[in-house]
Amino acid sequence: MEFAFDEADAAFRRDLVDFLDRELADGWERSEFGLGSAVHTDFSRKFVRTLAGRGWLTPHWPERYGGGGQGAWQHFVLGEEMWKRGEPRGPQYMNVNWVGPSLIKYGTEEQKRTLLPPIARGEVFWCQGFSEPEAGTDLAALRTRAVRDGDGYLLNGQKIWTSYADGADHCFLLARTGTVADGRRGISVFLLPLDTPGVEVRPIDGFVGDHSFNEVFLKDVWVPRSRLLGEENKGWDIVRRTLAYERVGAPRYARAALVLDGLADWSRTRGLLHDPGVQEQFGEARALCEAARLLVYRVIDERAKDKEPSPRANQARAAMVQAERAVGDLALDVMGSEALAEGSRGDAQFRNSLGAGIAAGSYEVQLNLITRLILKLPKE
Amino acid sequence: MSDPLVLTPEQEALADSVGRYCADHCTEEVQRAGSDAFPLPFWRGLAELGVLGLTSPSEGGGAGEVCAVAMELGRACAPGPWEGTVFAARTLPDAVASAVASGSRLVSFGSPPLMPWAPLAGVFVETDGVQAWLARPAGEVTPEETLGNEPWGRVALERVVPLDRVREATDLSHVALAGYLWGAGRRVLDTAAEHARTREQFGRPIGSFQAVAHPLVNAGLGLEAAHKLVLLAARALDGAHCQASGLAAAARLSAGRAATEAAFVAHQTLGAMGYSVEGPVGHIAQRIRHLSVVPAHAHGTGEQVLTMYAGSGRT
Repeated sequence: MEFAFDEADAAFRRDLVDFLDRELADGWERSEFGLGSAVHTDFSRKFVRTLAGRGWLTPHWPERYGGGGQGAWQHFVLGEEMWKRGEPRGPQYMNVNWVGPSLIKYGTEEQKRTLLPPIARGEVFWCQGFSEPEAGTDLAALRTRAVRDGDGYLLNGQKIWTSYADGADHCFLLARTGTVADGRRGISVFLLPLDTPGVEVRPIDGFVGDHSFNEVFLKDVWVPRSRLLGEENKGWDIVRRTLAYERVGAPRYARAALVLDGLADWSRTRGLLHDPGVQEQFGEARALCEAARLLVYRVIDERAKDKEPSPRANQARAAMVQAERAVGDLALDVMGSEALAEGSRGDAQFRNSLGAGIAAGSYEVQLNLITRLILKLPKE
Repeated sequence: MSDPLVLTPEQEALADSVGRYCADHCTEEVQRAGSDAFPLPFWRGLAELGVLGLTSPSEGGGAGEVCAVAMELGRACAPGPWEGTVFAARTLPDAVASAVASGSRLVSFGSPPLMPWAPLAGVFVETDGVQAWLARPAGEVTPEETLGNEPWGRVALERVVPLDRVREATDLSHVALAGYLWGAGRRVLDTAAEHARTREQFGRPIGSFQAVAHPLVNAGLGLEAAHKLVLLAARALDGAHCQASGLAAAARLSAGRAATEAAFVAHQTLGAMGYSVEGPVGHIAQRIRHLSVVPAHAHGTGEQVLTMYAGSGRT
């Protein structure tokens, strides 16, 4: 395992940084504060097309599907630089990180031909229809039904906490094609266009930044068989792999480290960095960010070598949560009352760090998986 | 310690009346009122109960009374400049103090430029933690939205007159804030425990998983300890004990830490429901985190606690 970036990767990063300096100079707010806001998403729609024009939206995809044929590392360098700037790709990170790769791995030729190019061109947004009111951490308990109907399926049920559903074109949707008793063996993945009749999206306000969540109601929604991804009842295998990508897909430590840099500047100008207690807190938070970075790199290394997803992704995810929380606590401690002003670094990082241990699989579940898969302890 | 650490019957009765008032009037709408819609009728109702003037020298309300009221206000997630009111009623000249006690003028209490409640305030009290002054704005107030949904603002202040009784008022304000934070922490933890009892995943209540249960227990222990410390500090203040100031400062810090932990655990327990704006804990957790931040004028709080070790506290 070697973590030095080679010259090609380093050159790519330099080009990317220059490009971002230019492209984000105008119209891009400091958006570590606003992921998911309307302004942010509007900017993203234009920005991802420019990015796609440079071949940098999906550099890691095979060329025949609109990708650049580059490796996992270049994809990751891209992700880091984007998160350092507050992720100007907006909801697109889901498309490029795991929706596209899942389609490439499990999709039919027709699905790849019709669905991948619009993603590669930056023309569409996808959302992830996983959680339901009764199926959160216990995702395999999901109840949304998909019943065969002619040359397709009839979907009925409800999704919740669906980020970006209000603006997305498609939903990567999990539904039950078997019985509830089948558990994870009765689940299938559908590639649902959200303008299908019978789909209703209702926003839920959240206080993690300007991000809003949604409920998605499905009432007699008919979807053709050509929109089933992979085999019927084999959706869980796709999801397992997808989640492994999602867990490290967003290099949140890059944003946390950026916030930390800002906090250090803030503290320096106010003469607070002389305090040994403050120094120690900065040191610890920085160490957690760096640890998270290296643990994520280890996962990317596996991916670059085409290995199966491993529990190292769970370790990396847990480490990122720790880093985000440490920076959030530090922000409030160091900034005092100034951290309370809405939109300040303290306020924003506190909100981000609250969500960190819940989104993309709770922190406790990561610990459980590490317990079983790495420490080899028996199941509870 | 031979006496049990509990409120007196009179203090219990006061707490009951405030608790009943809040149950009837501190509705979800009042608790969540935006910074542009402060529920003044609710605040004036507290004034009618005598809550806002509790600490004025003529009322003579002590730390025990402040503590009894504060815990109820915290449980109710009651909005308003509670800490500043407790401080102001004790220190301000009678005429101004009575306007505060009647709820006709709201208090902005802190150290400029970022002042709590400044856009709505009719009285400004500046403090550096040691001294305090009645002050007035020397310019416009620039409003700031805040994490805890309190209307704050940036404003330059001009000191008008120095205030008396600052030490005792500071001690009382520590108890006021500590009691509030304890009450709010208790409420979010109760909500989380209820959720853990009833929410089922993997075919059983999530509270049956130790990963969910143990953090709730630990947060509860923190709150229990903070509860006793707040009561102890109140009793020490009312009995003019030599370590009373240190205990009041310790109570503030401990209640802040315990409530913050309770809010954090509640979020992990409730998952996404915890960070939906309409959910049962989000607005309280934000207020807790907001009030737990140690403002500049309270930076001496930690040192105040240390006086207990040196045995050199107030006599």
